[in-house]
Amino acid sequence: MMNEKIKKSKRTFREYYLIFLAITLLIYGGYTMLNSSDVRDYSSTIFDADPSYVEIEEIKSNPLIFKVFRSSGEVDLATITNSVGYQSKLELLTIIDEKGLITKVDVLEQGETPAFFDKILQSKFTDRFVGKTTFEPIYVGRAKGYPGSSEGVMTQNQVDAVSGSTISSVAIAEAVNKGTTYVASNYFEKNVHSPFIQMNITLSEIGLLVIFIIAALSLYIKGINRYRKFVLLYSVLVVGFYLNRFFTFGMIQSFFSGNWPLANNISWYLLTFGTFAMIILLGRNMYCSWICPFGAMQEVILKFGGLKPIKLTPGLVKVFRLIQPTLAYIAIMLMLYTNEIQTLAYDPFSAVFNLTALPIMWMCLPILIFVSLVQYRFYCTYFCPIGFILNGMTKIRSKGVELWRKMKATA
Amino acid sequence: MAKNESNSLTVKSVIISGIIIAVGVFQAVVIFQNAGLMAY
Repeated sequence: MMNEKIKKSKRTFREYYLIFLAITLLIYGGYTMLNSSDVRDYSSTIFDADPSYVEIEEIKSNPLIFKVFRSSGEVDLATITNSVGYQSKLELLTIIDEKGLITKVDVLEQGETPAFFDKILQSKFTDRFVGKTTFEPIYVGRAKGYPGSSEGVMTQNQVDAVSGSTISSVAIAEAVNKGTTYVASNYFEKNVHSPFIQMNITLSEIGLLVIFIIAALSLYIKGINRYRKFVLLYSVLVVGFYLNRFFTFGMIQSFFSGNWPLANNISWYLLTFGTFAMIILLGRNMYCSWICPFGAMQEVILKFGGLKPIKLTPGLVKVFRLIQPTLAYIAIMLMLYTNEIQTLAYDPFSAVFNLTALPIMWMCLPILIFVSLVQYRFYCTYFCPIGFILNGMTKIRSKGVELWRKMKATA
Repeated sequence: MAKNESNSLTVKSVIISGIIIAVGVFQAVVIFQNAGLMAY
């Protein structure tokens, strides 16, 4: 009986491998969750910020605000606030003096793509907040179209975004404003509202929405497939190069860990909910096949290159298909181990579309692009963690629906 | 059968296999670098 069952199920090596990875991941994930001490010692962080601090007292828990006493008798306020950046939650410390001026801004935690965040660090972006008043909102310059942008606002109270890391810059400013507007309104009796709360529908959201609609419609209107070439070009040029918006591994992590950004980050919600909704409702992973700019780019290269694809033997393909889950597994394990969410950011998307990447990624990129000439979606097939997860979700969804139908039929 | 085998192991496919392995290693290095366990 038992033997029969095993014979019937006929699982492949890949399936056993995936089950093994999933189980060890769950065990280790559970273990780290049980052992993680979520209580962070903020007072030592604040003491480190200025050697003249002698005493700290927590006065508010949401947002977290501390009274900080200097040896000279002056009292500062320290706020701990957070926001969601390009792909991760950022946690910030802001120190405000008795006159309501910012004396320090520090990023305590982040998981942004390292190549991006290095720009923030190198340009000492957080220092730009020093001396700004909390009695007015702090706007972001050079961030046209982003929430909190100083565009059209007459103000001196602004910081310029770091070019190439605009989303992270805006997220930092958003977190700072959460603290400063609260402090100004509650401790200085000024009426200040964060400029980040308003809805902002820009070209970016519309451009993204268009391709989601096209992708969904392509299932119902077969004629769209004839124009696939143009949709792919749109994805590469508009979504990739112009809008710089794509689904990242970090976004999947922040989605499932509940670190969602403010509702005004429409493109984040469109990418996550749009993609998951199409999997759940339509049963198809439309993101990879129609929307992903990097996938589209590889297909465009293959189509326009006109070279004959080199076929690998099915045996080899089977072996190489194990690379994708293995890389994702290593990344998740190391993320759990080091607590650095940026570990998940090993995709080449920002290298291609933002021209920002670590040196080794620059070495990878020409290879990926060149091999795309003779391999259909080379990166997608063997390396992409997002495709792996989305396809896995699609499979689970179809299996679930199948099971449900069977149960309904027997009932 | 002989024909089939020669088809399956061409120089091209060997090169592609090598590249796949190389990219896999590169990607693993990026992961370790991002985790802060390896210098840039």
